[in-house]
Amino acid sequence: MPKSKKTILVIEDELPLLEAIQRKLESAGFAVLTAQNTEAAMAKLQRGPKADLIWLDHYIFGKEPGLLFVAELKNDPRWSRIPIFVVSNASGPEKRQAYMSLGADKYYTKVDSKLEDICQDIEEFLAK
Amino acid sequence: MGKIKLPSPAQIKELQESQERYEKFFQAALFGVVIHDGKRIIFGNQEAVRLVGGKSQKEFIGKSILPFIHPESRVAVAKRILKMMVTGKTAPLFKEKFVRVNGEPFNVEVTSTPIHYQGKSAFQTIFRDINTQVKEEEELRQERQRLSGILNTQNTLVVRVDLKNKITYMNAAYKRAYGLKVGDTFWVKVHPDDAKATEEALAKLQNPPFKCALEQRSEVRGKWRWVWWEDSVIRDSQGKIIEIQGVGFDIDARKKAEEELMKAKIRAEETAAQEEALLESIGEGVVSIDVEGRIIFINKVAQRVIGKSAWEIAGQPFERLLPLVDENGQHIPKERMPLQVALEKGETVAVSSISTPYYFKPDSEAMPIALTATPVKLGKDTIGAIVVFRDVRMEKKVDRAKTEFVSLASHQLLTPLSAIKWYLELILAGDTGEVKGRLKDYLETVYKSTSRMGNLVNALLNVSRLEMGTFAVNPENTEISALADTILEDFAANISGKRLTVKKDYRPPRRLKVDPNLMHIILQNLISNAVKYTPENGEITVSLSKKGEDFLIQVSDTGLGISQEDQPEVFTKLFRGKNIQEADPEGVGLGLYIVKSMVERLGGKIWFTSTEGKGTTFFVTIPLTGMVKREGSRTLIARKENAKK
Repeated sequence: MPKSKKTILVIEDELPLLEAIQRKLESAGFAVLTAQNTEAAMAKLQRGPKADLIWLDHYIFGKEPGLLFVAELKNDPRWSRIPIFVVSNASGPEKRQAYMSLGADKYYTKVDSKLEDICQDIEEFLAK
Repeated sequence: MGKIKLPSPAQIKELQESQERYEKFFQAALFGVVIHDGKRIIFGNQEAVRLVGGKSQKEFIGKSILPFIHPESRVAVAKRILKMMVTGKTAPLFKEKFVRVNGEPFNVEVTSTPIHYQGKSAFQTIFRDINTQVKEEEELRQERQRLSGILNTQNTLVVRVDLKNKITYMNAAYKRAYGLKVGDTFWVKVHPDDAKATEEALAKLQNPPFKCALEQRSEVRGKWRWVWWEDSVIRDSQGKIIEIQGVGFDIDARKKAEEELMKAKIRAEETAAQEEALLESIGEGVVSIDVEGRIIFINKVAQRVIGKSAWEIAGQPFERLLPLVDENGQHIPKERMPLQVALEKGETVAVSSISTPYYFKPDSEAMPIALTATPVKLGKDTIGAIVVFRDVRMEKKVDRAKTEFVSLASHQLLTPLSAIKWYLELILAGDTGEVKGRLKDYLETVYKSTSRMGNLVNALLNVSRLEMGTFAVNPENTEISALADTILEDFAANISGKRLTVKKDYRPPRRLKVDPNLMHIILQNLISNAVKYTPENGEITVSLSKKGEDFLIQVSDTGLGISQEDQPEVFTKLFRGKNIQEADPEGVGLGLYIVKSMVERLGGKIWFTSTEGKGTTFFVTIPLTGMVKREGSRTLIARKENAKK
C-alpha cells in the first residue's frame, strides 16, 4: 500500500454502481470521492482534497454532460492535468473517439469490463 | 370443227371397183384412213402415217393394228369390229385413244365401215386427231371451274341485277349471305343509319362515272354486318346499260376492331383522367419526366413544394427545379442524382428518409425529402421516369426519437446488468467474505450468464440499428491483415487452449477504404465462429486476396461444419445449427445475420461452403472501391470477447 493514498473522484449517477465502484477502489487502497452529477463533482474538486484521477460515467443526468464536463476540465489549467477514465455504457467508437479527442485517457464499457481490470489499469497508470 | 364427211356408199362401191382410184382418193385426204382386216393393216393413207408418226406407208402394211390402239380403247374397238362383222353396218363416230409409233397416246374421232377390199372382207377406219380440241376443251372446263370456284368459295359477294331489279347472277357467297336466288327481286335490309349514304351512292350509278363505293351495314343471316360495296354498270355490245353489278367485301371484323379500338381509346382516356385525379389527390409529390429529364406532368403537391404552377414549369429540366443537396448543402454530383441513374441505368433509385438528400426550396431553407425515381420502360427502352417524393421532416423527427429510444433502452438495460456484474465480481473477489464450493460455482454461472446477456443486448442493438438502417459507415484506409491479426490475438487463449493451428495467407492489396469498426465486426464473427466450432488440434485459415473487382476474405476451419439441412438457414436471424447448439449452448444466432446484413449493405457478398464433420469456409467480398461513407445516427458495437472462458 502506498503511504499517501491516491484519491479517485468517481462521478456516477447510479447509486448501486457508485457504491460498488467505491467499495472496489477502497479495497484496492484508494481514497474515493463520489459525485452523482457534474455540479457536485466540480464542488468536490474545488473544495479538495486534490483528485489524482477522475472516474467518469457518460450518462449523468442530461444530455452528454460527461463530454461537456471533460471539455470543461481540460480547458481549466487547475484540472486539465488530472487523468480521466471514462466508464460508460455508451458503447460505440464515436463516443470513445469524442472522449479521447477531448483528452480522456481511457474508455471502458461497463458491461464488458471487470472492476478489477479497471482498478489495475488505474494503479498502473498512476504508478507511471 | 366440222364432222367428218364420209364418202357415200355409192362412192365406195365405185372405188371398190378401182383400187387405184380408191387409194388415190384417200391418199390426199385430210383424215387418216386405214384399211385392215380386223387384225392387220392392209392400207394406210399418208395422213394416217403422219398421225401415228410413221415414215412411210409401206412399213405399216401387214402390221398388227393392236399396238396403235390405246389399252383403254381396245375392248371398245374389239366390240365394234365384232359388231360390224355381224351386222355389216357402219359403226358410228366414236372418241378413242390411239397410240403413236413413239408410244404417245392421242385422242381421235373415229368411224369404221366394213368393206370389200382386194376381194376380201375388210374394215375401212377413218380417224382424225382431236388431241388439240380435247386439250382446249379440258382447259376451258378447268378455267370455268376455277373461276366459279373463286367466285363461290371466296367471301367476296357478287351480284348482278337487271334494270327491272331482278337478280340475274349471284355467287355462292352472296347466296349464303342474303338467302336470295337468281330470278328473285333484289331486296336487302340496310341498317337505318346507312340508308341515306346508300341512296346517295346508288344515285351515282345513274350518271358518270357510273360507279360507286360505300360502307354499309346490311342484315346477313339475322345480324348486321359491315360490307364494303363497289357497284358498277354492265353494258351490252352497243354500250347500253343492261345490268348493275355489285361486288362486296365483308369488312365486319375490321369495323368491329375499329369500334373496339375506339372504345379502348375512350377507356384509356378515362383511365388517364382517373390516374391524373389520383396523382393529384395523393399526398406525395409526383413528377413525370421524359427521357431528356424534362417535366411532362407534375401534381399539385409537387407544385406546392416547388412553389411554381404546372404551366410555369412544364418542359423544364426537373433537376434545376428541385436541386438536390446533401446534408452539408453540397450539390449532389450528377452521377448520383436519382433521376439520372433511373434514366441512364434504367434502375429504380430510392433515397430513404435516413440518408436523405435535401432539396432547396428556392426561397426558403432546405427541406429533407425521401425520393424514388422509377424508370418508365417501353420494352427495353427507358422512355422517361416517375419521381415520387415527400417531405420527411416529420419522419426525421420520429427517426431521431427512435434512435434516442434505442440508446436510452441500451442504457437502461445495460446499467442494471453492469450493477449485477460488478456486485457479483465483488462477492466472488471475497468482498463479503470467502466464497467457496457450490456457492462459488453458482455465482460464477450467474456471472457468465450476465456477461452473455450483455453481449446479447449489444447484438440486439446492432440488429435494430441494422434494421433501421441507421448505422454509420466511416471509411478510412484500413490494413485488413492487421485487423485480422488483432482479432486472432483476442482469441489467442482459446486457440492455444484447443491447440488450433492458424494459417494466414495475406495477399495484396494490404489496405482498403473500409470502416474499421464494421470490418472488425465482420472478421470477428467469422473468426469467432471458426475458433468456437473447431475441435482440438484443428486448423483455421484466414486468407485475404483480390478477386476481380472485389476484396475477398476467406475464413476456413476444420470444424463441425453445417449440415445440408441447416445450410439454407445459416443467415436467418436467431437460427442455430443443431450440431453447434450442442457444442456451444450459449450462442444467440445473431452473428451471421448481422454480418450478412452488413456485408450486403456495404455492396459486398457473403457465402460459404461446408461439409458436416469436415469444416466450413466462409467467403466475404467487399468492392475494392471500398465502403461508401454514410452518415448514421448510430455506430454498430463490436462484441467484447472474453479472452478467457
